[in-house]
Amino acid sequence: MVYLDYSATTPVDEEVLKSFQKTCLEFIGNPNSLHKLGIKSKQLEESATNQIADLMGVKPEEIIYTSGASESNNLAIKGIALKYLNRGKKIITTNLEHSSIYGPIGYLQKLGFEVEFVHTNEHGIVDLEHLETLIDDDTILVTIASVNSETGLVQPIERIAEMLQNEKCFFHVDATQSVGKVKMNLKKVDLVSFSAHKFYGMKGFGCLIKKDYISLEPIIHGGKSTTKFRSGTPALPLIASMAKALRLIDSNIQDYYNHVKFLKTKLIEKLSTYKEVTINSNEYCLPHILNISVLFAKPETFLHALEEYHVYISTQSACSNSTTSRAVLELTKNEDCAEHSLRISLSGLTTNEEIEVFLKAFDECYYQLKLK
Amino acid sequence: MKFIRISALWCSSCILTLPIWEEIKKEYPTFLFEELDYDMDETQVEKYQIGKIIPVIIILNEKNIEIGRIVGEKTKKEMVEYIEQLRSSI
Repeated sequence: MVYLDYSATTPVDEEVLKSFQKTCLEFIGNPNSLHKLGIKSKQLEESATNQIADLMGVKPEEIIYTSGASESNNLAIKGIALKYLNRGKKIITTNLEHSSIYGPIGYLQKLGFEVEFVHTNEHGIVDLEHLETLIDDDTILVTIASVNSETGLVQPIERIAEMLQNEKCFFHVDATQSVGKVKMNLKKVDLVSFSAHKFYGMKGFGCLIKKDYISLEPIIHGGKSTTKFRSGTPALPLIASMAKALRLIDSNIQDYYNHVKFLKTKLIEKLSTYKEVTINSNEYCLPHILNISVLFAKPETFLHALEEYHVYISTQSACSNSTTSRAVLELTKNEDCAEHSLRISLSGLTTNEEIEVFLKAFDECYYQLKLK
Repeated sequence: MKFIRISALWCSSCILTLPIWEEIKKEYPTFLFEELDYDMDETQVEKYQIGKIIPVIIILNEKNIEIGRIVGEKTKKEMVEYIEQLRSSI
């Protein structure tokens, strides 16, 4: 089996799973209970939260645990919009976001909020001059993903954050595709979302980092547990295992980066030789994601053909359901490429041998489907 | 004429074109307008067999027979031209 869909999700690391299991079995108390078992759990919760905060370069009290990036994105967007309702009603975003960004934005738009899309340049990068013209007194939030999930395109988050420093609006970054892949300086970003399962952590768990000078309207009400902004019993095994996953990935991040860069170069070199294949990811994309188009085949047909060889890639982002990739269109400005896009996503676990198996399977599928 | 717009909250094209839809509603006050959600109104949406591209605007005549549809992201100019063309052909 060759798994090349790491941007959709990663397999849990065995050490992370052990940490989860150990916490489940040995820390049975609710961290909010007043007895000894509760105190023991509370100490672990605080220690794990301190580690996560330290690795993310934020304060422990700025961490809000959620069920994953979708909830984090919803909490950030709705939370800011509803809390700062009297400040303004304009939200700015891009055409390169995940559906869990558009979902809450679309919801708020129906409630009367105004939505603006910032232009991107010929490489798909946010046009900072256009962004500047869009920001006015009514703007309360700018939300931009650090890395696009379909193409790997990296946005200049630090520059955008710097630019927004003097504005009264908040800046939210969906960092789901960058945490665990590349180090980013998020010091000047107000809110950051991410999910554990993208870096070998457990599924169903994530974070919203919210700087301490910001308030939010909760979307899950029920009293303070770990934080007043998100109610629910602290998911201690998930908190401890996320700390473990972050620690492990942090120590490997540069090696993994160099490794996938080498593999991606090899993939591009080989796939570029096919006449009817386009390489959609450009030099501004992370090496972990390679977006291509096989121009004569429906993406799902090609995906299932590869599956016959036990090779697993994806079409668009796993949460999308339209035939045209908006992200690829934004990047390539080519409808044909956008309609036929495939995503190959790599990780530090991907081996050179797996790339060889993939290329062989790709070659066979290409010529089989071309003959049809 | 009756216009049924099918959209979804998570669809960026739907977000982008909603203000145009609102303007059109104001500019054609004698027409009927209805909105369906791609996910939440699944049963009603299914009968129009719209495929996967949204937003879609289904245009019906007075007998509730479909006479046209606008598929995907369109500018206001394109939409108005299409509507006017349909109007003149009735």
